Amino acid sequence: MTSTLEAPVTPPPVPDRNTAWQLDLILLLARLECYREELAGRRLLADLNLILSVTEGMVQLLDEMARKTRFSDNTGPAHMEALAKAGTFFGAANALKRPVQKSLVLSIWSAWNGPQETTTCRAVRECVNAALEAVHAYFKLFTARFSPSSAARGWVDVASTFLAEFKQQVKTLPAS
Amino acid sequence: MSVATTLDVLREAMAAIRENDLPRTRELLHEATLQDPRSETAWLWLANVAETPLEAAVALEKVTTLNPHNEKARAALREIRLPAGIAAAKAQDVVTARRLLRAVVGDDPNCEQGWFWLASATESPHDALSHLQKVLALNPNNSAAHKGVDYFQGKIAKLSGVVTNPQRSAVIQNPTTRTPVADPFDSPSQSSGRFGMPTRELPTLIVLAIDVSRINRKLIGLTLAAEGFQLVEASDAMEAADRIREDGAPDLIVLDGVNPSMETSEFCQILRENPSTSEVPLILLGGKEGLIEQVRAASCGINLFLPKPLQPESLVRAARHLVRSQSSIVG
Repeated sequence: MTSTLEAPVTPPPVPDRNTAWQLDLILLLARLECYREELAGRRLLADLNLILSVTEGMVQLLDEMARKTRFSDNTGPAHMEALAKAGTFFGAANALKRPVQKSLVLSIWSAWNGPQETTTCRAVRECVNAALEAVHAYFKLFTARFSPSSAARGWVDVASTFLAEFKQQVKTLPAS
Repeated sequence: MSVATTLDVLREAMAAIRENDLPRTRELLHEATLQDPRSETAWLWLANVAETPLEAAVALEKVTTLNPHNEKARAALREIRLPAGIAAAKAQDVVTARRLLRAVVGDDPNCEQGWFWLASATESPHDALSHLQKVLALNPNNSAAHKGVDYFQGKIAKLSGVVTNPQRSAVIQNPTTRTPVADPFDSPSQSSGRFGMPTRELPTLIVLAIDVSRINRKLIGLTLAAEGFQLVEASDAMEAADRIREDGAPDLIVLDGVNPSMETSEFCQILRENPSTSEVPLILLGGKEGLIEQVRAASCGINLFLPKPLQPESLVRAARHLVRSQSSIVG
């Protein structure tokens, strides 16, 4: 009599909470990087619409991720900061879309810059900076979800690199 | 303060600003700052959507009180303090006007307008006279200041020598000490610093990630770290060739479809002709032109094509499968 031995079926490993969260964040960061790559070689004034669309896409992606994720209560302040930074960014972006004379929002934003650029240029750069700050705030919120915090090391390494490169890119976006 | 409620209000404000509904955004932000007066970012956001310079200045003052080191807020406040102070003086909100305009002339003692409007908001005629004299020292032709001097001199004369002791109701605000929150992104690690890739005791597998984007290379490394891979990076095909020469053949190569230094197909052909790399599994991360890339990939020895952006779970599955089998073309 022969018996049929079935090959042992190994179920796919179930990722633990940190691993699953990290995979979600890797996907998010890969998408953000696609957006960031679109900014390469762009000019602040000539490519204003594209720059706004890219940065809005980035912040929207982060906001969606935050909305669909359950956070613990102690991340409340980090969450509020992220929302406020994102809101500040959208406010600045909306101000740039308005075809009116220099608004108060623009004058506040432009006050944060040096004297070498035109007001509009400075406002665009600061708007992108606001997006950068929003990205940073969401990254902090997402990092807080790892437990223990040491589990976030890999994510923090890549996210820090992203922030550094994005920051450098914002700084060097040519005016025209 | 309820964090949950403030969060809800900020979410609503976010929705309002997305709709470009500034009045509603302002209303909600006022509500948020009432609920959580210590939220620096809510105040900052409010400053950015403020309707008037005065409203913006008051919000920015809150920010700088909460965080005296917020240089951006301080710079913005410096910029709008004068129009805000004048607006407050015109609105006869003398307390706010004084506070703002004193700061203006403190920053810039040559600000003629600052001294002039401060005079109009000052309680003591002696102080007002002194401020107007500063205006005239800066601009002797300021006729309004001349009139003001006459007015206040008359007023002082009427007081008939009564010595006033102008006790200024200076409000000394104790800047709230902020609890320092550790920011893991403050010092981005450039290599294998304190946030280096999670290391395994004995990484037995090497993945060579070839991508012009450092972030994409690191994402590949992070994705596969849990599978026991150690990352070796190259920004283009030429650098990849150097890495292979120096470190030997990797166990897996993941390369970006867009290669600035060499055609992808040419590079793959070189790899396949080299005895040390002929069997190394190759995964191509494609760009938007996925179908074309996929066809080309199959013809030049690529084992698997994955679209961009990187799907980490697909990469993990592919790496497991390819490294185990070492040869099959999944295409």
